[in-house]
Amino acid sequence: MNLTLLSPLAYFAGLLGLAGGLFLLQRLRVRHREVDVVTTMFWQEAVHDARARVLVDRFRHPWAYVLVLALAALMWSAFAAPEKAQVSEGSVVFLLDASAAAGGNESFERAARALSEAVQPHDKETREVWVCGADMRTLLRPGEETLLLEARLEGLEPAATPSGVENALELLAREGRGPTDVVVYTRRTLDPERLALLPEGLRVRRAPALAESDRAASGAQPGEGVANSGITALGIVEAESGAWDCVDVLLEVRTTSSSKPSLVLSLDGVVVDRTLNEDAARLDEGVLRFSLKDLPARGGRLEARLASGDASAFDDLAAVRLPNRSPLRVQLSGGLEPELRATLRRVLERDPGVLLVDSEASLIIRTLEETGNELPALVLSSASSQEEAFLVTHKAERLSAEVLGEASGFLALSQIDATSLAETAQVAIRLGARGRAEGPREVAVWRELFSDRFDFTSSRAFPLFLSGSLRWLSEVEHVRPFVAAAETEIATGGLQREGARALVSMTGQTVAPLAGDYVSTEGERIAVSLLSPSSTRAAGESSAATQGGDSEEAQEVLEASSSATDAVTWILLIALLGLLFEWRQVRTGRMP
Amino acid sequence: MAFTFEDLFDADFLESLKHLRLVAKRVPAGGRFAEQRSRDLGSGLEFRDFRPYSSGDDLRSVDWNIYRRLGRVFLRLFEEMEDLPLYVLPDISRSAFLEESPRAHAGLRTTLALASIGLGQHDTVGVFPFAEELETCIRPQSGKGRQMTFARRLAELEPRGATNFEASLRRFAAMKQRAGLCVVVSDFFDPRGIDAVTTALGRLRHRLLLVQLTKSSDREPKLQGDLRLRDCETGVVEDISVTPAVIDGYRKAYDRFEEALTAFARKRNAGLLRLDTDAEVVPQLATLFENGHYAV
Repeated sequence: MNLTLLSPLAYFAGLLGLAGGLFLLQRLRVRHREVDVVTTMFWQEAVHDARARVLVDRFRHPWAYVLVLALAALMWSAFAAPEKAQVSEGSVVFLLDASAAAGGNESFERAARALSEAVQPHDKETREVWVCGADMRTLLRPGEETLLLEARLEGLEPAATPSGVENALELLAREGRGPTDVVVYTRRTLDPERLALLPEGLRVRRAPALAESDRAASGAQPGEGVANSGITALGIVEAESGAWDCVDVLLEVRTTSSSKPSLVLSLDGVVVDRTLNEDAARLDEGVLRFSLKDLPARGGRLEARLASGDASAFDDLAAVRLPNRSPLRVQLSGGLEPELRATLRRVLERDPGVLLVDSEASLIIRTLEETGNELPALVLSSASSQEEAFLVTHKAERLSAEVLGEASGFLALSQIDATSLAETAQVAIRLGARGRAEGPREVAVWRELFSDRFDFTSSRAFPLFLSGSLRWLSEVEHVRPFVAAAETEIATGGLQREGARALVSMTGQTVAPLAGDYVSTEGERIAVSLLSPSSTRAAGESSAATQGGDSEEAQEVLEASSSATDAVTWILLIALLGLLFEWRQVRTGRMP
Repeated sequence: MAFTFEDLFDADFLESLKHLRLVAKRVPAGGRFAEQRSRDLGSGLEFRDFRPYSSGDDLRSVDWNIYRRLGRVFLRLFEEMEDLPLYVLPDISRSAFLEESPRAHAGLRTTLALASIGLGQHDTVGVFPFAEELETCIRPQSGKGRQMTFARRLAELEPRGATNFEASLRRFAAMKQRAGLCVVVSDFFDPRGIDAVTTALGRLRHRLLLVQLTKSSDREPKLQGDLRLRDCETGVVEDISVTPAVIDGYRKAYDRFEEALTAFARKRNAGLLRLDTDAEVVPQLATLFENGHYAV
């Protein structure tokens, strides 16, 4: 039996106080009952000798004292509000989903209240409460009083992050606990495939009444869900048109509403005044896809927003950072042979991402002998000066193996007929990478490959090689297509969100837990979006869509709590019977 | 009225009185309390003695046989066979009417029962209820048919004040009634104590029959707790806490009372009948005539 209103110490201290107080009252109590008798002469004789002068009368009527004390103890026990502790095999874990799947604030508050009530009857030694949202933590540990839970739930709000319920369940499974009942307070359907991998001792059950209360609060009819629309995908890709300084934008919206949601795109707060292409609209299936072609990539924050007022606001907003694709200022050095210069110029002028300049260049194409220039450079070396036909020089903190992998791409080596080159050069055509602590990036290539002996400059690979090399040299910002909260790994030493603690990466990779705007330790500004179809679906899910994870054994846990004996009622009934008994005893003169 | 006639003397009770009279009649002549050898010497039927003739004596009483033999005139004296006046003194003090089953109910029934016996035997019966004073309810009279008159008069009695044996019996003595049998029907609870009671009774020149109206609770009170006892006659209040010691003292006090009353009856050669007022009256009165004689 747990006392919900008093600690055990306070309870027993109160009992002692009652016993002492009643004891004093018993000694002081003088209550004469008037009785008419035919004569008092015998009584007078009887008490004459028995009467003695005492300062304090001796303790009398012990049974009356015991009865009154028992009644007082019952009242005190009722005040302590005991509740029968639910004895269940193993422990019980109440898991509260504080993610975007929890729906709006009211829905989450209802879930929190329901959880708080469900926790009360259980033995505090074997029950605990977890919350998974922005992070996963314990709200109530075994042995802690239930009153602490209410304080910790105060102010707790759902976060713009995908649900981590399955992750929490897997964590529970890894802890190797004994038989454990898990009651999950979430509105989303649990992944049956992941649940099937859980051990048998972990019995999972969703709180059944949660969806019902949500539906009742929203006024939806039975069988109907609560309407919700959410942006489940927002990404950018290289422009299909090939425009290097543009990107294509792709959007997906999922909705449970019968009407098409209103969608607005804005770039740094300014509405993008362009019509979205509606691709394969499937409103009847609740999926809408849009695209926007050739959006200029000048950096900036692209935001997509749905009209608010539906079940969840977390998925009404998504954002992504556009790359800054300004033209590369490339200078052709004076040491280049005129013919080569002309060839290079001819190719580069066709590259819209390159601007040939004579000054204030950001990149330079030079010969190996032209040293003293600190700009990243495409260097024309010779076979005698370097073993590799293509040698990439990178910053020392990077691994050469990684760079080699990148180089294979941006050097368009797959387009290069290396066999032909090798046969012509009578030497193997190799690719190399080296790190350098200081100095700019470089791509060094045999100048011999540029001669007429080889058809390198006339091949289709050459322009790709040039543009790729120049872009690598300039460390052009690659398109980061999208960043989904709690999913997309970001190569960074850490992330910082305004008003939140910095996230430090131990492995060089990290995941942003919540949707929002971050800054990496490298200075990159990153927009993180929810992009969670399961959260959007959960926010608009009806109560009929209960799937998976429910075990009959765990159902008994909830049923047992709802049918827990109300100890207070029984105590008060017993006390009432005792009072009636005392009243009768006093009336019949059997008790003073 | 404290009681209705029907409540006090119902048909069953009146019928039972007939049986009581029959029981009383079975007692031989020597034992009937209506038969009392009078100390008066008169012209009754039984010769007792001679005495010299005095001037004025009735010549019919002269024993001429003695004159013929002795030449002297003597009178023949005979015993006077007289009836025994019955005086019944029922207690009508306030205490007799207090309890749930009032003692006065049994007391008045006892009074009528004894009066019926006396009337049935042609005795003179008078009823003198008392409390703080003695009253004359029914003057001494005889007649078999007077039973209902007695019953009606008894049913009209109302409770009076406190009990005062001394004053009541003094008044009775002052009436100078013919010597007879005085039956006191009472609980004998006089605030002045049993000594005052026995002293007052001792002054009576009549033969005495004491009918003590009792209850089982007189010796075994069923009171508990802290009580404020109020004497219904005197109003005296006594605060007590009923404990085993107090109960023990109460019993001892009551036993002393009983012993004193019994000792007086023994000393005075008076009859003492302890009547349980919660039981039927007539069967208890019949015990007075057990063994074929009236034992006092």
